[in-house]
Amino acid sequence: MDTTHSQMNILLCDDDADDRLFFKEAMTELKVQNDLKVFENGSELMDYLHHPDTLLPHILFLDINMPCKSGLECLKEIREHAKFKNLVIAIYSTSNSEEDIEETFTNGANIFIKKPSDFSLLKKAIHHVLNINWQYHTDGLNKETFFLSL
Amino acid sequence: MKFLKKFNHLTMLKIALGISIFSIGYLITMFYFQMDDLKEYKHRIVMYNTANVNILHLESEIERDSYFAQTQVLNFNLSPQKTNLDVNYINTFLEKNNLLNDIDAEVLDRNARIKELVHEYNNAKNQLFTNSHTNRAGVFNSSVIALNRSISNYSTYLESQIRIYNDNYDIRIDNAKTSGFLIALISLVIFILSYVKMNEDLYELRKINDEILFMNETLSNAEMVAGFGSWKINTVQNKFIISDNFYRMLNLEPREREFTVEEVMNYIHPEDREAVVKLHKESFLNKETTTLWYRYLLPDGVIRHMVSTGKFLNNSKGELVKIGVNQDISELMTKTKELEENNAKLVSINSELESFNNIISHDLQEPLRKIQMFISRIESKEFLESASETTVTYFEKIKAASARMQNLMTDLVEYTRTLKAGRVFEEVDLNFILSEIQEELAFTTEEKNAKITVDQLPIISGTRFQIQQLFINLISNALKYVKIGVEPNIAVKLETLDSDVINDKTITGAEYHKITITDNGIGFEQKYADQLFILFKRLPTEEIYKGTGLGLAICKKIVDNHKGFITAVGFPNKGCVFTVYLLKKEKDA
Amino acid sequence: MKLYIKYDINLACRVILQEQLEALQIKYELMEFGEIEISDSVTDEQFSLLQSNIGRYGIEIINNQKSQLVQRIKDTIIDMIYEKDKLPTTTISNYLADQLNLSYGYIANVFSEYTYTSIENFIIIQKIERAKKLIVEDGLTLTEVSYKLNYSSVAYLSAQFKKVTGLTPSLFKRIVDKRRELSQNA
Repeated sequence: MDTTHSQMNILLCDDDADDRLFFKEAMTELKVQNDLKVFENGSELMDYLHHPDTLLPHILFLDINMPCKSGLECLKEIREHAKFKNLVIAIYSTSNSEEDIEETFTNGANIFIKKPSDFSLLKKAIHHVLNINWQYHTDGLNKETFFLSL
Repeated sequence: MKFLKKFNHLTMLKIALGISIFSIGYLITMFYFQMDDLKEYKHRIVMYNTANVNILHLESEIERDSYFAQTQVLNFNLSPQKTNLDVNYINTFLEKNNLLNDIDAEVLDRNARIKELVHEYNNAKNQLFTNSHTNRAGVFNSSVIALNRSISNYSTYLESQIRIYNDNYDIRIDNAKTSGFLIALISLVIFILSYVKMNEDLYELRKINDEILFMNETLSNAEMVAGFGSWKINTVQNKFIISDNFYRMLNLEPREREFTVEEVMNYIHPEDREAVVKLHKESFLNKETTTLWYRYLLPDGVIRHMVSTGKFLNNSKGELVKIGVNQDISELMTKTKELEENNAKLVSINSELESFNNIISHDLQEPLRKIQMFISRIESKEFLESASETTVTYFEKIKAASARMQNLMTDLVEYTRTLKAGRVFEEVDLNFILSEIQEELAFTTEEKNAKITVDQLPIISGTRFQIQQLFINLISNALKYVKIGVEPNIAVKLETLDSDVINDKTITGAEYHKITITDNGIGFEQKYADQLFILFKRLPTEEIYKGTGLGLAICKKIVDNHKGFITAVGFPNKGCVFTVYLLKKEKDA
Repeated sequence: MKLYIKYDINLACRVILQEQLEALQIKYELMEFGEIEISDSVTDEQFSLLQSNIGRYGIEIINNQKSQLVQRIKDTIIDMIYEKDKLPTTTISNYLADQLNLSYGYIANVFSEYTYTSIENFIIIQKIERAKKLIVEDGLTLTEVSYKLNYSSVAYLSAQFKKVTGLTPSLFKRIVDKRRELSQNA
């Protein structure tokens, strides 16, 4: 990643331990200098986001199917707050049904990633997301219509 | 027409009766006045006759008197008893005649004239005796003549009057005779008409009676067939009547015995009785229609479910009557119960299917995905470089198997999705669907350099995502089973349909759209055509064409869901044609 | 005594930059991610003053010929895609070389060196962005969009759109419409 730009704060919220592991390994292998914070459920994530000391993250990777507080609930809650207006939310889910894609996008998600079944695809996806996200930030692209489904 | 004729007949009868009654009234009035006139005329005739007798009597008196006077004079008996015609006596005569004054003013004049002439006569007679006037005899004679003439005139007048009234009397008598006859005649007519009318009414009544009897019989049969019984409570006469089938519903012979309301109520199941009795009693307060559900518990322990409706009416005597119908719904209840049980079973099966679907789509796919992720980790971490050839082969096989399993599960999810089938049909524009599919498949199309042509297609009614799935599967199939080295050419066409026969059923263009999907791929032998749409049936194709055997089964299911048909015709190494028949959109439905 | 403070690094930096730029009377506009658009020309004296003043806060000015060239390349591409009613029919490499008066090879190298993405990729993303705008805001059909943006076919546009966004143009449009509906109702 471009070191001349300030590093990105990245959050991951997923209840599945294996998937959290894959994600961390992928980030490590991509050798990007980014700050990754990992949460195991929706409430933990929301507590962190609402905490006053929290630095506004740039990207949130959010699983949909989580016990207690689902990803969709988190998504809706986050989008209610103006201060998270510029936070890019990437849904990171096992399902890729059109209904899920439509529902999450309509509720304010920017990126929809179906959890891949190949590690290299995961790396590719993360790289693509970070890259395109950076591009959207630097090149003044219209965030209103920024959707990406991988 | 018949009704109109009858109507006319009856109306005419009524009009005739009316006219008759009116004319008889008129005739009776006439008759009365005629009788009155007759009485009057008779009275007058008597009066005139009496007057005439009086006058004639007077004439004879004068005759006698004048004769006596003349005789005396001739005998020179000049010491006469001066017998004068007594004026008073004459006046009495004339007074009697004066009674006629009321009806005839002429008589008065004549009476006065007679009086005057009598007076002159008396004077002339006196002179005859007292005076030796030369012409005294002449004067006397002339007065006698004048008086006689006047009296004679008077008499003639009276006689003429008598004649006139006699004539009138005769005429009136004739009229009265006629009137009497007419009255009798018209009375007869009225009598006959009334009789005819009565007869007519009686006939109608008999007919209605027949119909009522017939209907009663029909109702009785209907009650038996449909399993209901009727009842009637007369509140004034305190009578309770139940129909034949009501007896049967209580396991009794029709009209076996009489019942009171309370006795029938005793048949009601003890658990229901109190409530029914209460509602029944309450209904009499507000006179409202009742609908009650309850059970009869028959002596032999059989339970019958009833729905009973009661309604208040007034009969022709104005008595309050509650009539009602009890229907035996025991059979219906049993069937409903069975249906409910079946439905509950179906619901649970459906929800099981649903959860099964969730299991495949999420719970089963998850571990598989993990397996595949770990496979890719092993691949990337160069573990295999140091592994033996057998290990690598086995590893490749694991990889292939897991990939195949994933395809299977994806298709299976699609298949179960068509099973539960959201039955919400909406308008689906096939043109729109096809353009979306072309967008969707653009990548593959581009990659294989395929050409897809699509006709102008209709709008149908169906489930959107299923219709989309149907065409995606058919076109993907055409893109998948292509001949190596040949650019795929796929055509979606709307064909004109007169009538085709599929599975012995005739499909007509009035009901169905016929859409064909033609490709120039590897095709298949026609003998396999029927197996194409069977779940997990795969045709013997080369290894490179990897399918799960679910795609076309899904298509079949979707078409079935839409009450349509799908057929396939294959030409080995040339291509194939899939034909889909979809129901035309019902107009205004 | 201990004070707990809460701060916004981003805001702090922006305030410092604003103060310093205003002190030197430089006309500017703050962009995101550490970019400042200078609208006037800046004298060497002003530039070195600014450099030393903000240096005290640990803020550095990254300035060299190449990064400026990258910005010019981007501007040229965006201008070409957004401002022209119809894309030029010449190849983009020729167009860029003509406009910037440099060899395309050099341009492409500098671009990928500084952006970690290729010019082609950048152009595709920009074109799809423009396509989104044309679909959503101007309500154009795919045929019209593909003509405007010089795509050989609707299928090719759809394919590229799907490759970049992961969505078909129609699903994309449906989502935007639904989002608007949702925000209007809220």
